[in-house]
Amino acid sequence: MMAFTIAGRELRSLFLSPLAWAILAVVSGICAWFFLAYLDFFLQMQPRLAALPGGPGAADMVVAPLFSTAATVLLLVVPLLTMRLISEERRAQTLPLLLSAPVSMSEIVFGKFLGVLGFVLVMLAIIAAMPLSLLAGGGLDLGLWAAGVLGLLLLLASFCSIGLYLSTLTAQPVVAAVSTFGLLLLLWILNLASSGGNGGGLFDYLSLMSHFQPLLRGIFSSTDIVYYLLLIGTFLVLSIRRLDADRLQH
Amino acid sequence: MTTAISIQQVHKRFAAVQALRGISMEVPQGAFFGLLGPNGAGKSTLISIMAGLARADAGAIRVMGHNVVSAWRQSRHALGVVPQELVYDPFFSVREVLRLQSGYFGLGRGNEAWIEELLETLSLADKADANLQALSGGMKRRVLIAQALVHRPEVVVLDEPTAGVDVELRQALWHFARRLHREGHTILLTTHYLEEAESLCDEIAILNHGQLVTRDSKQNLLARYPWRTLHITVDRTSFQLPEALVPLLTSADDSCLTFRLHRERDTIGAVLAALQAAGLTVVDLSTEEVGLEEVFLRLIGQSGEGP
Ligand SMILES: Nc1ncnc2c1ncn2[C@@H]1O[C@H](COP(=O)(O)OP(=O)(O)OP(=O)(O)O)[C@@H](O)[C@H]1O
Ligand SMILES: [Mg+2]
Repeated sequence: MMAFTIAGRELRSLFLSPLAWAILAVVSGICAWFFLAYLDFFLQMQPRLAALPGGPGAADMVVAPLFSTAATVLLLVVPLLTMRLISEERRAQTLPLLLSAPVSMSEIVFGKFLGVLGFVLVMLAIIAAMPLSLLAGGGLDLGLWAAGVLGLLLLLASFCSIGLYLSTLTAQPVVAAVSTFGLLLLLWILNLASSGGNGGGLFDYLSLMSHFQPLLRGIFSSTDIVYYLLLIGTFLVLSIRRLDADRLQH
Repeated sequence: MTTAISIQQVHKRFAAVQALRGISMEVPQGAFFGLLGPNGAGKSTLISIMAGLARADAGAIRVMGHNVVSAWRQSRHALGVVPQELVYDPFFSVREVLRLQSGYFGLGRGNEAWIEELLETLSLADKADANLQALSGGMKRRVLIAQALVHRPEVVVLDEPTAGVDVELRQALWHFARRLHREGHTILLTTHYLEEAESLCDEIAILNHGQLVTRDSKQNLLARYPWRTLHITVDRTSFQLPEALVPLLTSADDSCLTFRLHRERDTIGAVLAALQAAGLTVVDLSTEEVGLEEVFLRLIGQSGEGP
């Protein structure tokens, strides 16, 4: 399928850019550092926790905080990965080369999305692999871990989809990055703003965070999955429409 | 002869500019077709619509019989466009760019041989692994040409391929374009170098202000103006020009006189005789056959400032 050709190209160009490598290194470093810190804390607490029947295990004490931290770190860096997607090609005017090939707009958008998601998945794999080392000690709830990985995956895919859309709006990667960051942050903390007032239900539903936290606690609900899929789909469709509208103007 | 590109009543408006006002014409298959017109005439806009980069407000374009909107996949397979601007992806090497472009057309390993051949023919072989950023403008232009040809399109569109290109490369590009044409490709060329169009193209269309000014074979176009130019230098700077020659004179600069002669009505002999009768001695003389440039300027002048 053509989308995979485009995804492959995007992924290659990411791996050819120093920025992506720097991001990979920074994210892995920060997450490893946090992982060790959480692990250390857990090991200190373990004798006392073990005494409690049904007390928190490694998954609660290490995996959930690690994935939560990773989500925050990735919220900061994904905009830097997605900013180039369309706007860089716009700026370099290479978009016509792609657009005049027999590739549909949806294939282009989907391909770009998959490409950047592929890179993000590499980071996700590194982060998700860290707590697996606890398996050696025999103490990891794999179900909880898997729910957390799924949550992180859906969250990151949403970041990518939103970032992709915002990069279709401008020819300046930096503008795309800043606006993506702003929008992600807003969606992230939307539920905090609502905690007191009315209309809280809607804000709560729209917030990225309120759908991520249940998964970290191992609560698997189809509402959360549907929320993410809808979010991803909406921004992909918006991107396709936006690029199609471009054709009418240019 | 079948039609390679058929353009019917195409209109296109940008916010403030009406770029195309009802263009209709056909480019026969196998033609070497020149699309001429001054800056802003709408040539690139027309090409963008063909390539699916822009959509016409009204009208239709077909490439090898495929409508560029409703049958866009087929029409894009049949078309290869070399864009006017030098655009390039700075991350990749020449060979990678060609492989990627080939991938967009659904061509895989089977196309490798053709890519190598393109690299060879366009003298890019020794730069094949160089990053695009590191290439000179002329090299980038050749990469763009290779990119446009990577899927062996039947119709090749060259949007000002020789702008800002040195003499040697220009010759090479001409040679290459002729070869493509010989091999059966239909070529659509836009250029601002009229002598280029004159030597390469067999069919010519002229656009101005988004309208088709004329569309004819080169021979007919040249024959429409049966004029030639005669430059004469006389031995004096101040003199009285014979009455009979005044209507023929187009410019006079000291001792240099330029006449425009009708191929059938006026003869050089008559002009010389008249000058001699007036007591002037001819020091130097040259003639110039009418070229496309003159025809072009005349047609553009007639089509005026547009509506
Ligand atoms: N994307 C655009 N937005 C607004 N106006 C445009 C756009 N593209 C072209 N135009 C306008 O449309 C008209 C035709 O432009 P076009 O590029 O087709 O001319 P051209 O014949 O290719 O000229 P040149 O010989 O300089 O390349 C111009 O007036 C131009 O300003
Ligand atoms: Mg142009």
